[in-house]
Amino acid sequence: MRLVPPARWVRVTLAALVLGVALLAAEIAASGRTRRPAELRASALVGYEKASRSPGSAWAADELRVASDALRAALLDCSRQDNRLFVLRDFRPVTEALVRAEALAVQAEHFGDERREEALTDAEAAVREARAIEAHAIALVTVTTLPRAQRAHLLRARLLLREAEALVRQGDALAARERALRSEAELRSAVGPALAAAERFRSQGQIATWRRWIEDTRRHSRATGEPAILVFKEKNLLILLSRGIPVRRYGAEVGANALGVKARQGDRATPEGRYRIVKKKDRGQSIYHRALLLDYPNAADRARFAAAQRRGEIPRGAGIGGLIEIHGDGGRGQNWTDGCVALVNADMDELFARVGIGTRVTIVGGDGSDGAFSSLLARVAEEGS
Amino acid sequence: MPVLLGLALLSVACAKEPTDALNAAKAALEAAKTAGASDYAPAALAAADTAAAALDAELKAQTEKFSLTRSYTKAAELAAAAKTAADEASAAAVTGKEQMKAEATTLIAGVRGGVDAAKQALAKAPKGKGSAADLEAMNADVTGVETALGEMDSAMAAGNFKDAKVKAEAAKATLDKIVADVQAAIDAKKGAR
Repeated sequence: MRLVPPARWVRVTLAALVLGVALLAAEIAASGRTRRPAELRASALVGYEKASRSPGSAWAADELRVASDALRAALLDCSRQDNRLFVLRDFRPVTEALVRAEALAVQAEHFGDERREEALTDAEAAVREARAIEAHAIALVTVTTLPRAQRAHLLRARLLLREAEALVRQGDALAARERALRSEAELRSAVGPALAAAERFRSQGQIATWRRWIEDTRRHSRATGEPAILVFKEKNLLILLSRGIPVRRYGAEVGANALGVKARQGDRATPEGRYRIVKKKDRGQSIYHRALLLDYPNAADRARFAAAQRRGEIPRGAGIGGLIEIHGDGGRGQNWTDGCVALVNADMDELFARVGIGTRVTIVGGDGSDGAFSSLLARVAEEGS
Repeated sequence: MPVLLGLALLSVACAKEPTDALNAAKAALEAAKTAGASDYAPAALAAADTAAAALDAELKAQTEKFSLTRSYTKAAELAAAAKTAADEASAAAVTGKEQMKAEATTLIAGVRGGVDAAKQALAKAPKGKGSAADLEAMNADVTGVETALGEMDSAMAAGNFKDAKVKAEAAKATLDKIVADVQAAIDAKKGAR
């Protein structure tokens, strides 16, 4: 049978088809548009995972959200292209989207790390601040006794501060800062009232009063030749004057409520004022080795007590107190008495021998120079400025 | 004709969403989050999240296609992979939590022993001028730690092992310092003689 050659139009059509396919193949090969960016896709996924689990991720929530949205959009585009006919696929926009998504994840990780570092710096600063207040609190409790409620605040504060330090070491900045701030709040509750009470040791008016009493006592001792005693509460110091000149200095422990001014019986504060010795109790007559009984309360004390009662600061049934002495059995290393002034027995023996009934005893908080409370307050003020 | 019918049936079969597999993957991811994977297995959870993202993308791409051309074969594979990743995150979270619990338990036991050691040390601490206030502060610290033990027990009971561990570490640091300070005071007194 003789083959009939195809009509011309069929030949042209076939040639055009072949040319078209060849051109398409060339275009696909040259552009690479059908090449699935598998490595880029994997890299974008890994990049996002790394950013979302990094320690700084908590500080870059918004940036991570943007990165997540970009990644999801890129994955969707990739899936769409996967599902098209091979020759119609174009992964080039997908490539750009994946590159962008990975860059956003890297950026989120970077921002998160930076902000976490800042947060850790803030947390460390909060811990330092709390430590400074803790140091003041410790200095305070070495010289005075805090009331029970404030002691409880101090205990909680110190444990919270140790927790904050542990959290800083672990790099948990948010929790560390939270603990440090709570510790600081507890510390302020613990020592705030005490520091406020201690302000009178820096008060110019109060210091002037104390200095006047001290000078009056020196002048009287100089003029009469009689011995006199000066007690400085915040310095834990008792000075024996002879003819107005200090001749002996003894360490003295005062009432546990060292900051306070004696207001009533049981407040454990040593009174401040100008007194005299009214009785000498030798060995066997005092439970504290030897004792010198003072004339507290004097007229000024009674007037102050009555005024405080009228103002409602002291309950009706409360007593003014008494039996304030200078006695032995001191040397415990802290202020512990119920209001008396305690010396070690050897010092008490010496003092007992050199004073008599009627000897003036002037008790002041301080004299405006270095003392436990005025120094502490100066440090607090300096560190706070 | 039979061939055409077979092709039509096959395309319908592949066009069905693998609902069971999708639900299983979703439930597994929720379970991982509930198990605390974000705290105890963040890396595994991140991998599970990205597997879920890939699954979501594939599902959406199929939804956009003409129904007769849809195929959920790949979606089924991705759902299985997402479920596996979520299950791994759950397991890692459970392991991480158990490890944290064990560490906290050990530390708290150490704190209880440390309280006894600190009390014994304080009983032997040198007394005298200048030391009474320090001793009182250290005794107060031991009392504070004993109170904190109650807080640690409460945190453990509530499953808050990370918090219990932090409290225990803080308490241990306090007790160790007390013992060290007392020993230093004893050594100083021996050296002064």
